[in-house]
Amino acid sequence: MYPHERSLIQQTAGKPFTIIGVNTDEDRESIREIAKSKNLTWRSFWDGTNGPISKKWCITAYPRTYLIDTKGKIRYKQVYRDRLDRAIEVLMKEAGHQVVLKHAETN
Amino acid sequence: MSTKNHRYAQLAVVCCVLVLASCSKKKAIETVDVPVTNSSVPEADTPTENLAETAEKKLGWLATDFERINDLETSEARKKFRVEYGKTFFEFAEEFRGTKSASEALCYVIGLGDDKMKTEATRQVLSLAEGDLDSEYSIELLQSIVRDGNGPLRETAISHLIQISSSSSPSDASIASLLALATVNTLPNDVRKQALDRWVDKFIDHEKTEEAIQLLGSHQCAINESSLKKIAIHAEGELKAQAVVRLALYLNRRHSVREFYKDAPPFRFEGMLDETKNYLAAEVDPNESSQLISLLKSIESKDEKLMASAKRELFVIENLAIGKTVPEIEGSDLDGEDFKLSDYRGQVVLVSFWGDW
Repeated sequence: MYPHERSLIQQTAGKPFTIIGVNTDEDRESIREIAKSKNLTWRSFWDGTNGPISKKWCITAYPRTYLIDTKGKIRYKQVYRDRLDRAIEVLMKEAGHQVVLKHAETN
Repeated sequence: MSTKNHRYAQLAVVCCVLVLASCSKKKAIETVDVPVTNSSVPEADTPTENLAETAEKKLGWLATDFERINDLETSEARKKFRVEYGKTFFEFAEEFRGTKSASEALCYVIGLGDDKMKTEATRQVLSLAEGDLDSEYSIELLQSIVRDGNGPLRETAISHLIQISSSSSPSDASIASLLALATVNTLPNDVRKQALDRWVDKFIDHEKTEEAIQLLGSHQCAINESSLKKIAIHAEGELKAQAVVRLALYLNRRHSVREFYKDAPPFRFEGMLDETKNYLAAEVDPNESSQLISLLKSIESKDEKLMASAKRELFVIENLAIGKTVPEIEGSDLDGEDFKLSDYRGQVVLVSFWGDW
């Protein structure tokens, strides 16, 4: 996921798109260092292993994605790779921003 | 097969068992070989018992060792391993002929061996079952043939099951047969459907419905889905609660599986049955979620875990479906700073659950 997510952030720079992670690692300190060293610039909630957010959302397998439009509606779930790119383009267009995403790196 | 249930418990004692097993086997052979001088001493039982015990221990060990298959990476390697192990189980069955473990080993061979071995094992298992068609154990044997076998012998096993299951006075064997016909995924759909309808009609209150729910819930296909729905609607009390929660988990998982296959490269579909492809592509009944919501709200159970699970599934259906306003998330980031998901309204947001493993 990281290379793809990093490239999404780069390609949408200056436009209203962001990633909000929900991190499920056990130790907040070490994941903070990892995020820094891998240049994961977007924000994450730290939920811990089997934390309250994952529990509430019934997340049992990872990764899991939800794509939310500018009004806060859930529009796509479980989208990855090319379909994620296309889905973001659709929602950005609805918000008046033309974006063409190139999927350079694979997972 | 019962071996499967036992073998985890056996794993812990495998080391000592091996020593014991070799001792008791040696003793058994000696007793047979050495002529008994005093013929009035009833020793005949002892060697048989030792043989059966030795067989059970050794089979437990073999079954555990077989799990090494999970470490193999290519399907080629796994295929080779399966055939090799088919041979091992077959040899085991020859060595311990006459014991219950030998018949269990033959059932493994039906699922593992090459064609020749598979046919031979099927033939032997079928004749064992035919020796006592009224016992539940024979139904287990027939079920192995029906699940993993092929050809005319399998057809015979299926017709035995159908005949036993349609007996007018229900017995343990007839109920086990009906359950087998209803839940073995490889059986023809019309056979399964008929058995399931009969189950729902006559035995929905039976304690084995619980087993049926688990079996149906563990495999995604159209007939399992409709059967789970039927049981969820028609069962009562605790069984209903179980069926409804299982159904909710099942439909939730179906959703993920379908989404996954929308993204999947063509090779994922190679060798897939048309039926499975159609299942993955099928339209969802628009009333499904409202029906599921009312079912989830209707159930009562003493099982707190089950009720907690029901509550979570309900939350997913009511709040995390496409088109719903995303539930608020409040928490703190990796630096410990508090924030909310709704701080980002006005932006397109990818919410991504992740971990660095």
